[in-house]
Amino acid sequence: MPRCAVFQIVRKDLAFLNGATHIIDGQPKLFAETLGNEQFRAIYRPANVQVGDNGEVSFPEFRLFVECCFERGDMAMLVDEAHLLCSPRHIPPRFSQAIILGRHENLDILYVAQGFSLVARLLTRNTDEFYFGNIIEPADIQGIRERCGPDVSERVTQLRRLEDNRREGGTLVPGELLYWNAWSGTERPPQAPATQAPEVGAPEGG
Amino acid sequence: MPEYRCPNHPEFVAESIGGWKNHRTRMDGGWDDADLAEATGASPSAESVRERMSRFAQTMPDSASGTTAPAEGTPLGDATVSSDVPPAPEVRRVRGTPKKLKKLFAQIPEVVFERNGITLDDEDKDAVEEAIEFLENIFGVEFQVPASKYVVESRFWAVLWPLGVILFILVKHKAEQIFAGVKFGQQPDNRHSRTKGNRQDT
Repeated sequence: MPRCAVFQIVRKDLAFLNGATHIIDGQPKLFAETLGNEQFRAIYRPANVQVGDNGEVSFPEFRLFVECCFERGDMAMLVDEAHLLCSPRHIPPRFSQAIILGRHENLDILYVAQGFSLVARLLTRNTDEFYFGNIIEPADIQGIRERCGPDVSERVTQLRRLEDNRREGGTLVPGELLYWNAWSGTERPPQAPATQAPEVGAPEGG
Repeated sequence: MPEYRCPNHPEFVAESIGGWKNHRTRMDGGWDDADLAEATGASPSAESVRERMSRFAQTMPDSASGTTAPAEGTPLGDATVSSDVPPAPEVRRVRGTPKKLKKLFAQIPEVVFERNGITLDDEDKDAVEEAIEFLENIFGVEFQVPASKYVVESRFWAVLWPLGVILFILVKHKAEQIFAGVKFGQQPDNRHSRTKGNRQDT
């Protein structure tokens, strides 16, 4: 993936740092210029967080981030914590535009969310590949059943959960993941990348 | 008039895509999507991505401190629309026809019919209500006010609320005493309205 950019809300998250070539904190102009490079793995960390009267958190820079990626095209756009940027009731117009029309710009979109039912339906219905972790939330299971079938919704409830033994001096054991795509179900296509389960928090959500 | 040029025959200029296709098929043996996209201007120009993004970056703010949440309903058209466009003012619309007043209006024709000895059945009543609704839609009143409400910044104004309630209760329960001296609908006392010249001292 020679050209990708991630909108990373949680600054302490180290998952994306390993391969990053640029880390940009709240500078949309610099970010747009960075996307002009032939290759980049940019992390954009928003500096402006707003809390509305209803307690909802919004990130005004997300619109600029999406606009830059959409304008650049021919790249991958990663959205971390997507459930904080859209909901079943609302999706930012620019994000919606990128989801619907991004294919014309050769814009791949990947996202990570804590729940299937927490993000916009527009997002899940346009997602071709999923990596599911262990899920027990009924609303999520219901959504997965409608999208991927009863077999998948049943299997996601039985996946091994993440085990964090670091407090006891142990290690972090990533949870089991279930792969699903819109063409062949849980069978991975031959051209797909390695079947090694990604680390927890890696941008393999959508 | 659009012009479609042949890359292999610069002197050829077609006035339509069909003419361009015919020419390419006849002279060059065919064409592909890239040729067509270039001829019609659908393909990216020779401008490099770096130049394009550099130009696009000029529309972006230097820092995020000035960014604000986008207005709801922003059109999905041009992705490069400047963020300087002011959002449409948010307004709140409130109907100016209270339900009880509407009901009162609906009863007027009913009363008129009853006075004339006509008793309305359910269908007639529905028809009258529908007619009143129609009139309301035509002549109804709506208030359009700014969505933002007036904000009182001093907390001491809040005292007015309980004081107002106390005053209201006092007026309600002591109204008889308060207005005891006022006799509505009576003639004013003539003794006070006499002119000085008419006064007769005994």
